Amino acid sequence: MRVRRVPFLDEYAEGGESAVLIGDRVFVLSEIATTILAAVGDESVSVDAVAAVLGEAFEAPPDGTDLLAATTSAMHELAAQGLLEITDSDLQQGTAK
Amino acid sequence: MRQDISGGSHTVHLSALGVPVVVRASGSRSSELSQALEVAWEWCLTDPPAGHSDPDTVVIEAFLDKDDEAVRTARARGLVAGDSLAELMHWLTPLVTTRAITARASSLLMMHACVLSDPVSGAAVVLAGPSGAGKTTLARTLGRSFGYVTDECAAIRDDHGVVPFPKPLSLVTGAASAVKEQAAPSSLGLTAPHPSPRVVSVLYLDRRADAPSSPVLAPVPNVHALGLLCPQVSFVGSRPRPLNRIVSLLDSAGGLRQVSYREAADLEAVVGKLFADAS
Repeated sequence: MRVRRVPFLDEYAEGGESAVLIGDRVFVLSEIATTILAAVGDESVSVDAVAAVLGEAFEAPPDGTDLLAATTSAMHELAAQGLLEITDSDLQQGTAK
Repeated sequence: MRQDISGGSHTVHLSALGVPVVVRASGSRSSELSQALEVAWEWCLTDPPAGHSDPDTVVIEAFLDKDDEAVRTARARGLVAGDSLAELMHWLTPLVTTRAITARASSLLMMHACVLSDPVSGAAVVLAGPSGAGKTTLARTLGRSFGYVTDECAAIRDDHGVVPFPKPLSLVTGAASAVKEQAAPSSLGLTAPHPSPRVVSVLYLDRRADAPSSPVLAPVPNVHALGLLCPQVSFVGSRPRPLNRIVSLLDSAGGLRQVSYREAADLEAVVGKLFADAS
């Protein structure tokens, strides 16, 4: 249940959103994705810690969606894009513990 | 005198993005090739170096000959070779451009863009966009009224000055032709660029048949501007802090604006107003 950021060549943030450059690819990130990457930083952190940061920064997910599950889903999406590296096998299997 | 003749070959000296480029033309039709290069690349010609040549000089060996066997042999030796002048010219334009861009990867911000300049003030408008966005058409159309800086590569220094690259314009001559004509800027009635253009505005091209009849400019926030422009930047990761360099450029130029338009001529008034606003 831990993740870390992959190294960025450069990043730029404005108005809560950000753009990051990895290799020759640029990613434009929403406020939530920007907050996740800021919370993760360069060290391996737990999904629970990131979920806590999101819980403080944003309103609760709609329709009663579990915050931890929503955070895990967002992490998987960012990992699939190559922005995060999953360092825990539980998360790699899609199970947030 | 921009052309050397020695040993049956002809040498043409160019400056592409500030990079010295030497094209050595050989083969039985080398004279024809070198003359065509001098015509098409008229605004990029330079004199041969007086002393030692620049160590960063790009050398391209080109071979034009009517004999197929000679062409095959030349290709096997790594030369850019052919039996058709039009085809060889078609290949050489992107080759010179690519080699120059590669040579400048660590020193310039280079993006796919047409650049037009105010011939008097040097104010420059960058019109960026992917292939098919209309850059060459814009250069061909608006370059008669404004200075033609480039139709393909905006080479921008950190002080936001632009290195002119008034290369030949590659024009589609027929629907069935894969070979583009390499047209000299003056043959199209274009205006020579200001020698020291400086960016005053950056537009992102959105050419659509269903665009409003009058062009519409829409500001693009910097974060989203990076998403549009970075794919158009050559070797984007080869210099430190590339995103922040681009934002610095945009901030000095009033931010990126996306321009939705139908026809190149529709943008003449838009570009003219940008020059007027900058003066």
